[in-house]
Amino acid sequence: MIARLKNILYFVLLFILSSTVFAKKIEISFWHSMAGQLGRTLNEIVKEFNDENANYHIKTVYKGTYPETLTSTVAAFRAGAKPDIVQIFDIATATMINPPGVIMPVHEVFTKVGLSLPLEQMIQPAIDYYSDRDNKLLALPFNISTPALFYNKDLFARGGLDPEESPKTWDDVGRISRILIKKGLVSNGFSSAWIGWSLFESFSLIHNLPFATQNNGFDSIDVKISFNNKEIQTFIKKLFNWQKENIFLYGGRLDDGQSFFTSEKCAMFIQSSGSYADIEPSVSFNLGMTRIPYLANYKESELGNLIGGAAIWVTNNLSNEKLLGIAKLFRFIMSPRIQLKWQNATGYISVINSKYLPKQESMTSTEKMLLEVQKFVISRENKYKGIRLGNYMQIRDLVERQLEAVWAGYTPADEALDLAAEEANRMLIRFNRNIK
Amino acid sequence: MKYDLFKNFFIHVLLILCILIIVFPLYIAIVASTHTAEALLNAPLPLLPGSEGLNNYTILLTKGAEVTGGQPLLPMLYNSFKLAMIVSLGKIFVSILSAFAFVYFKFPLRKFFFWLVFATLMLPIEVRILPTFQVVSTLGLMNSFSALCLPLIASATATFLFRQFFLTIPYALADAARMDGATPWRFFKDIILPLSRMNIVALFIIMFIYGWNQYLWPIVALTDSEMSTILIGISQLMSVADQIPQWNFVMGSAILAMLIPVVIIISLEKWFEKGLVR
Amino acid sequence: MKYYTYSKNKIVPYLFIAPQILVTILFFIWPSMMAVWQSVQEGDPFGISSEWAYIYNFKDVFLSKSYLHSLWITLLYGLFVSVFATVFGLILALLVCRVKRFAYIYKILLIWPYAVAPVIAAVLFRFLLNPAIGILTEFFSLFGYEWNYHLNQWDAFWIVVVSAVWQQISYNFLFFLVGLRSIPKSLLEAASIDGASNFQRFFHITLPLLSPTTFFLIVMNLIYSFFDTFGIIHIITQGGPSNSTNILVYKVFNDGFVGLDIGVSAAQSVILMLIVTSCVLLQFKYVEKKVHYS
Repeated sequence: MIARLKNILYFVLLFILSSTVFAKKIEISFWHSMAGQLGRTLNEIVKEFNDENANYHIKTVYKGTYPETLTSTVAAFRAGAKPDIVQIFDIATATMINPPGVIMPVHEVFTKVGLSLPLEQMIQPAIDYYSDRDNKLLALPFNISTPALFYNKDLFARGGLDPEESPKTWDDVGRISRILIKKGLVSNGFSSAWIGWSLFESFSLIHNLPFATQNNGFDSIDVKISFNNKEIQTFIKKLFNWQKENIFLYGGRLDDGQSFFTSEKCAMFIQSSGSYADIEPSVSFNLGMTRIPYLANYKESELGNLIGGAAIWVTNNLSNEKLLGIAKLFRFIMSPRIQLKWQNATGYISVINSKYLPKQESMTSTEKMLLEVQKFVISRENKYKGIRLGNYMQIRDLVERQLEAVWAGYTPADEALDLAAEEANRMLIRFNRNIK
Repeated sequence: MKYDLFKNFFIHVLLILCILIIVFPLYIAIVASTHTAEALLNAPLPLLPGSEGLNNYTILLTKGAEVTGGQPLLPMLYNSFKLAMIVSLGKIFVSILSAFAFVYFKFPLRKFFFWLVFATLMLPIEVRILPTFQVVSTLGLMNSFSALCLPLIASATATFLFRQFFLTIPYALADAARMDGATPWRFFKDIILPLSRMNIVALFIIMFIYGWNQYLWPIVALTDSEMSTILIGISQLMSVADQIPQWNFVMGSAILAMLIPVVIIISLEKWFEKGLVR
Repeated sequence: MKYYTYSKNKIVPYLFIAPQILVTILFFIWPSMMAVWQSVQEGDPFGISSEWAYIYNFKDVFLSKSYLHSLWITLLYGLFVSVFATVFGLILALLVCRVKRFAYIYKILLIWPYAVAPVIAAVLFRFLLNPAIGILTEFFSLFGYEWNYHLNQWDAFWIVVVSAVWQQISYNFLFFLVGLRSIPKSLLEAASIDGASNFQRFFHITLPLLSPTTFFLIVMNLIYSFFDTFGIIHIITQGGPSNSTNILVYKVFNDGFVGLDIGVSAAQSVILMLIVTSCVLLQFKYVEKKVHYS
């Protein structure tokens, strides 16, 4: 009897053991916002990882645009059906870490499973942007881009300018615009996409101007807005005057203004560096890309620009098995080979410093250009790591709305900035009240 | 007589003019869908069809994703069709029954239920999107077609229209039926249902189009890209960040997305109109 | 006046309404109540911490200038869309009613936009009126008008109104056409013999007979302009420039969906619910008295 019971017990034990050995793969859900070519590249990378790691299956799900993915995540959290890892855009960083309990910081994930990320090979601005006050990594910087100035080399040449001499300062942009407009080559000098990010916030960051107190919100959430300062006011006024001279052409908050550039209505265009790979093959002229213009009294070497894009966050309360899989995936993504593939296929900046990337035998002009872009962000001696605010999306939105009132001539620049700051401060107070 | 002729001519000219204005955006969309993306980047846009049409539509329907984003449109069109069918039939089913009850029955809490149902007209799904998402999740319906369809069925437009129609049916008819001893179900099945045939078809068309044209809720409710509808496909094309809008493909998918509902409304137009004439 | 055929059955009516009540409770009442609950709560988007907000959310809504502006814009927008859609729909219906030849073809060519999603209409008009490459933009520039809906608030307002009206005219047209055709010819002929002019016949016979249709259409047009045109704004203007097309629904969506301020968004939903409910109630009161169903 006892022997039989023992047998059964062995059998049961064997069954449990075998079921763990032959257990079905650990599935890790990964929500993202990468559509089209970007999505396909992401899926290729994930497939490669899944093939290499038999125990894990990363399941990618496209959840729409960045805001759509964030909202889906929020709703899923409330309904108790959250994803394991999720790609969230830069400006929602404060939302993800306040209050604690939504995510598990990436550095904790790695400590817990006993692995590490090649932090020394990763570029500092990317680490800074997604780190806490103690420089510990919160999320994995994934797709990174920075605002850049695109210009039409052919128009420069026809205007008697050296097409290889890229515009550096805002004065250059004004001078070149005037020349080209005067010669009747273009109707306007330049336009811009994502104006709140690529003109407004980036201007503040590269010139070391305070955007908000507490180190632009990196030190604490008790933040007050300080973007309504003299320098920015002067800059916005300048843009307004330039608009009257047809030097600056407003193209909306999104990237609609790009058609002004591709249709050669403008000679220059400010857009995310990530767009280079898309614009280059689709235009008939020679395309130049350079770092965003700065004020003439600043030294170029000091200027590292704001990064944008998105990071991958790990949600809280995951099993150790899942965390191990995630850590492996992150290490896989941070390998130089994958980073180079990612950069070349998508136009995003490699998070691994280009000196660690594999050498390429032959490169297309786009691939060459992409290697250069990293310099736009790394050579920084910046005072601020970036900008991190609660309710940042609404704040950017209301800044853009106020700027639109400036462009339309309804509100003078200084008044508009004060109004925006006042409203933004109210948003910050609301954010703090909501998370407490 | 001469005056009448002139007047008639004038009316025709006016009508043709109006129609040209209304058709113009469609024409331009068709033209744009027959060119290369590059041809649509520069300011003087072509006003006449190009030669890329066949190529563009083939790419859109079969490959789609290769060029811009998302997946081929053919399965998306099928998903939209499925969604529209379920929503329209489901709505007709629930609303004809309830409209019947609201018009022909007197029962406690009738007014209360009436307003409960009609309140749905006042707060469309766009406004309660987050709570609805949570409810669907709580019910464990995530990532299913029911999640997509059921919240869309919870709207009283069809009930409203059926009620309007029932109110036009002479009281005498119902009265006679009752006198003959017909049960409510028989009255419904043998008299109301046949009388409503036209309305059902008309409402089917309206609701089919309503379902087909749903935009925000599918975007939020679907996590599985295999269930994407055609409008999600278009919104993906429009909002692919950091990329140039490929207007030829955007316009091509717009044409494809409107094709089925437009064909339905044109081919069933007779029924649609007759259904509304009591 | 009220007359019910069946008043003795106790259970049957509930069976008839059960499916509708069930979906309504599950997918309308429940989420709406949740919205009401959230409107008096403050908490982080993920729902980790949350506590009573009393009326703070509502206070914040009414203190913000942009909300009051949205309210105003919504009314203006609803007014323009309803008036244009109703009037043009009626005019087209009257015209088609007058012609003997090609009436069917005209009708077909006028009703198809009904089947086009607002989002698609928006895609079409965004292309036509694109500030850089739009064909109509080119056309306007011939007259020296620099069309740019990203910059000019009224350009933005009009592109949204035009897209919405373009899509909604056919719906109005069709209902009016059906309404007009159901008016007995004899009635109009009799009036004609009595010496009534075209205008008199229109205002004294046609229009009153169309009043149920018109009422229905105005309600539908308002609902359409308040809610269904969300997709148009989402695709074309995103509420801008400044706040010029930030209608209430879009603001609710934007604050909740993009801004993730669930309390404020829910408070706005509740206010919106109250506004629309009271409007519709008023109109129902009116229609129950004035419109007769023969």
